[in-house]
Amino acid sequence: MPESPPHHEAEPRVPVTQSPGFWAEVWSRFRKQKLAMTALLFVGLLAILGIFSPAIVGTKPIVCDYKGGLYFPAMGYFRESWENPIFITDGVIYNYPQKLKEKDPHSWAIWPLIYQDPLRRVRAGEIDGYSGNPIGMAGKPSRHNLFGTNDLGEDVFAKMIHGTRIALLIGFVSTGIAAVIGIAIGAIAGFFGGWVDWFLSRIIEVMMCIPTLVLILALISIIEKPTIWHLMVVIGAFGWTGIARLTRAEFLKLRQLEYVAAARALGFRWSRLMFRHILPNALAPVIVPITFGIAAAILLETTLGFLGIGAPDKTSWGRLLNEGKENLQMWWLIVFPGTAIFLTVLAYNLIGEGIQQSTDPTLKASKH
Amino acid sequence: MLNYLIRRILFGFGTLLVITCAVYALVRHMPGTPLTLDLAEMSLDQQISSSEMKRLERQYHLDRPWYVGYWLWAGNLLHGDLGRSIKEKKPVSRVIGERVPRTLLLSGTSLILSYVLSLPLGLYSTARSGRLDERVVSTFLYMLYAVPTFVAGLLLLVFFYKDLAGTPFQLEPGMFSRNYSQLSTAGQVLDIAKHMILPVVCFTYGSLAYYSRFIKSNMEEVVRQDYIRTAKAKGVGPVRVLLHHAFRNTLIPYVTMIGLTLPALIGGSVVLEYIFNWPGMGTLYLQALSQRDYPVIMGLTLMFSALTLLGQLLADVLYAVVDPRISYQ
Amino acid sequence: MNLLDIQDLRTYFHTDEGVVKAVDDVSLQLEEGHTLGIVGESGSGKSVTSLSIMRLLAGSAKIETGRIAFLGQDLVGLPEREMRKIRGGNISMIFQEPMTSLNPVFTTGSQVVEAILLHQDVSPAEAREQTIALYDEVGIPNPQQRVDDYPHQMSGGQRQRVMIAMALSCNPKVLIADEPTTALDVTIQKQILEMIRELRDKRGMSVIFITHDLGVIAEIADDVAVMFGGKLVEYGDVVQIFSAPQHAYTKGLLACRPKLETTYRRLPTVSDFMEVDQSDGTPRLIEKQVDEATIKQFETRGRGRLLHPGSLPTAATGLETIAEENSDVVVLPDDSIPLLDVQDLKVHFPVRRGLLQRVVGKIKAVDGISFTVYQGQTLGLVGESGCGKTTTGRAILRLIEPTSGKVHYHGRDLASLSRRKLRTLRRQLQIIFQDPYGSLNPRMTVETALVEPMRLHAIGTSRADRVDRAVALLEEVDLDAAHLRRYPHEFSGGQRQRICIARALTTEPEFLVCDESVSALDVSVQAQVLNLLKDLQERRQLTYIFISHDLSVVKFMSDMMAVMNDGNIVEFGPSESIYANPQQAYTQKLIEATPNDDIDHIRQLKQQRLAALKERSE
Repeated sequence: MPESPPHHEAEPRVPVTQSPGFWAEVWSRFRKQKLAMTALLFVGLLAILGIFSPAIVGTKPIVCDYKGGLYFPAMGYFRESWENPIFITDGVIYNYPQKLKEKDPHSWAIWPLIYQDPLRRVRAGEIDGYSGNPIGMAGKPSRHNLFGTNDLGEDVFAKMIHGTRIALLIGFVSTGIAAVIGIAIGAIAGFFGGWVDWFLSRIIEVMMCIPTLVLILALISIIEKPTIWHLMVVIGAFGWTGIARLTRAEFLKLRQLEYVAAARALGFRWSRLMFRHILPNALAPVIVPITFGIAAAILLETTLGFLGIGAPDKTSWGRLLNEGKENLQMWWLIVFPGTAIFLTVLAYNLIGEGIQQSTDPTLKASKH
Repeated sequence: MLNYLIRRILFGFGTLLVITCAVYALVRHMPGTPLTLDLAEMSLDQQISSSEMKRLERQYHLDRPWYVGYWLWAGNLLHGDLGRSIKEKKPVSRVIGERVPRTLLLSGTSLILSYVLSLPLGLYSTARSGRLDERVVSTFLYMLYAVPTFVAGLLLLVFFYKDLAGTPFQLEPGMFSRNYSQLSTAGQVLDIAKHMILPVVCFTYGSLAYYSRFIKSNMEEVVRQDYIRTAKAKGVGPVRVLLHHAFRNTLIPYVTMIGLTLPALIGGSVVLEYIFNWPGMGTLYLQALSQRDYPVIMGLTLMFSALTLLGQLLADVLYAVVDPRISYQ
Repeated sequence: MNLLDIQDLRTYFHTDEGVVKAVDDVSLQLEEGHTLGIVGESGSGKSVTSLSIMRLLAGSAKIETGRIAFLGQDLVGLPEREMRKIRGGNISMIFQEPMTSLNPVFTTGSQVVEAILLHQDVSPAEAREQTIALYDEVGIPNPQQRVDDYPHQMSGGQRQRVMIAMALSCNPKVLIADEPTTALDVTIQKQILEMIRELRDKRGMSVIFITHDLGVIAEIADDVAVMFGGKLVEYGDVVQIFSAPQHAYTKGLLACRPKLETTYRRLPTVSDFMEVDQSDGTPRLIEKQVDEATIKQFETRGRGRLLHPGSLPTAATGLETIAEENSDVVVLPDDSIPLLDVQDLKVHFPVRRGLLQRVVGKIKAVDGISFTVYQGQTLGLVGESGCGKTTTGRAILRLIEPTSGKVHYHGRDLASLSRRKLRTLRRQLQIIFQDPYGSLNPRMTVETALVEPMRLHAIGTSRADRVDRAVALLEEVDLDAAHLRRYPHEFSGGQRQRICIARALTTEPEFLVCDESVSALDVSVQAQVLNLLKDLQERRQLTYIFISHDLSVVKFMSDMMAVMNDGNIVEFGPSESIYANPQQAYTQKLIEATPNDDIDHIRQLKQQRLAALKERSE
């Protein structure tokens, strides 16, 4: 029984402007929460880092003028085919700074902020006065290698910046897949009830009983050459149960409400009822586990990378930790990626909590 | 209540069937068979003749389609026969058998610790909600929850294994020290216990944070219910309101949640064993996967799922005990 | 000395939106053995007053100033520890919602025992004996067994009795009852009220009884305090309040309740007696003069009764007197065709038990009822919870599928129509529900809620046209065009109900089911909505089925009435006849249970109370 402040039944005076919708109000409440906003900004920063990663750290010019043509070699980090083959045929590709000028003295290039490569060791001669990335234990964080290098001399900072892409992509796409499946199943189960609900609920229960990691490991092992896309689909295919349960509960609850019965009495079809009348109301509580789901997906991907299974992307944060396990003395292989994962998960958790508070302000504890 | 339990048990069997069937199908489609992998590793003079190959294939049902293979496997299972490990050439039940208690030792201890410790922690958070000490503890737990287990595990190892090397405080991964067999029984117990410290801490902290926060938020909701107002109107003091009236109601969703989070925890033990080189079911599973040792993979999947389902059944029983609306129907 | 002496109490809520003065300068006294009734609508501050006495305020509420003296001792400043001894011991409280007021995980007996052990120095075994005796005293059968029952195994009425047992367990001097019977059926309410009266007289207890229902106050109180907007507007002896109310609000409140004997065709509302002026921030009440002519209008405005063919007003039916005064009672000609003809309607729900969820039995919600409704009439369905009236209303509209039976509307059987044909017919039959808070989609503006059904049924030529129609509808229900772009949560309960009515009218229906449409509203708002419904009926030639558990409201609204019990129609006839001359025992029971605020009845009860008091003190 929250002791709500009473209001009189006298008619309230109604101002004449359009009142803000539900989500506008949620956003204004969300904005007031400092922690959640900070977390949101952090995630925004990560997104920027991911999108602009080739411009931040790389060994390929962002844009260069070579033999009369304008090229964007750095795009090769997104997709190998986007790096023009002319650089391969001319032998420039593995040493842009020297070879570019060598092959075409009139060329110019705009370089990324930091010259390091996530996929290979930077060798002597690429940077003036630099003898190349150190290998093994000597690879402590230094001026050239902000986060150190791994066993093979590959720069950790570069890996991590480029790895942001994977982390965020996995988070959003797999959770997106999970959300679509989960909401669909939950909505159908909750709306129709009866044997449809019984059947779908049993499926949800079975899925929830499965030790997911175990099954995912088996699933990934089948695929000959797993890519991130495989990974995303698999993670999404296993992560929908929580969302489905919540959606189902919401639909069951909302279906009983009288505005649904009123809409039925007015003659609306069930499809309209589901999408137009119930779903917008059911979404608010479901956004919360979706947000937590993003954190969970990122965690799952890094775990798989850590176990050595999963996409063989060299920039995955999980992979770095895997290398760290084998070389415990190289603490920088553990600390930096570990902190990054921690901060990302923390950020998503905070955002999720922020959304929860914003969509349901009655959750605030009353002080007794 | 009996009906309820019977339904849950039957359902559990059904789930086991589905899971093992799915895994078998998956596993049979993996590239490479154990025999081809074997071949790749063997030297030329150890090559098996093709008739020998055929014999092995028949033995492991590799010559039949996957659903027949599954059927045969399930049939053997009912006789208690899990087959023979292709790699180890020993019965699967023996191979798994020696691993199960080790995993249970680790996961079991951690689970019990987290369930038991989270209760007082959650109650404490509720009672002192809003005060400075509670906020500090809450924030700390919240941050802790965000640290992934493997990160924490690695960091702990770095510190306790490498940095403290040579000191009496060093803790090493694995389950046994090198001189294990020479120790007395008491010494052996202590040795294992010492090796358990890091993994258990790693396993527990995450669940602890999660469960205690769950208890706190649930208690806050319970405390706003009408029957709490009635209790106060009777003159019940704040301590009893919290511990007796409110807490008893929180137990119900708490027990439900235990059942729900169990699968994730079982999965987590795989990662944990990998980090700390703990010779349990988890490390065996990873090994078997890479070796395509089908019988072992199947046996382990069965074990994992069975453990999960058993745990959930226990949670269901507890739930029925704790909620009179179920027991007295 | 007064048992309880409240002086200048102010309890304020400190919210994010500002300070809300829930209780604003209230002074009351409670004498020993007396019953004080506090009456008011939602937001009046009556509940907050009682919670202030018990110091059970939560959240942002605080007692700002004031003195609450219990036997001379001020409770406001009392340390919490001392206050706990008083709670449940000297002052007890029972609440409104019996379904949620008991802890679901403990047996009811153990919860009563807990109260006893807190305040008395007895052993647990003795406490249990006391509890069993208490259960017997409050009328719970089989007390020995019931003591070990869990709350979910008991009905609402029984749970309320347990609450009363718990409150009485330590012989309190004061019992505070906060709307204890509001959530109960009227026959159960009567039993509980009688029980409270008995126990009060037997134990010499003082009672503070809080309710919004003036009829209940008449049955139980010695002194009455009327609250509005946190302030005490009138305070006096019960006979005086009912016979000669002084304050405009009290007059309005008394007048706007439909009494069983009423001859009004439209109800007076509180706003006929006073105006609330909020222009300078603080609400001021301005009294209006109400003369004889205005009152007479309420009896004559609008149409008289419209009766079924064959229901001639005769002396036996009591309609004679009314028919004499205004010959507006119309009996339909014998060859009239009913608009709605329900024949042997049955709605059964299967009960599933066991491992395989086999059907083991049926709940017969509606078990073979038949009735007719003619165009322009209002048929009332009245009964207590579980009688099947709501199920009937929904089954007619096929929101619940009937198990068998026919529902002829304009000659076509609704129950057997295909879904597609039904959809086109849905235009004609609409329904207004009980809960104004659940009846509107919180994410839709009023405009969308009104325009969407029009679009579905191709009413209106363009969007602009539809918006115009929506505006017209809003004005018809006494709302404003400015309300179109608002969301439901910005409106009060009464306003929301009007929006629901407007929505129901968008498809230009002929036939409206009002399913407890005013039951969740305050009594003054209820009067406004009932008047509105009657106006709309006459203006648009609508036909109503009016469903409610409140006999007075149903009688006021309906031409013909059907009394339902256990899925069957027990009695059917003109509302006036049924009231004047109930044939069936159940109907009689229902009528008797309705709280009676007749002056003589009040005087009589008061005499009884004083006599009992005197006896005790001798």
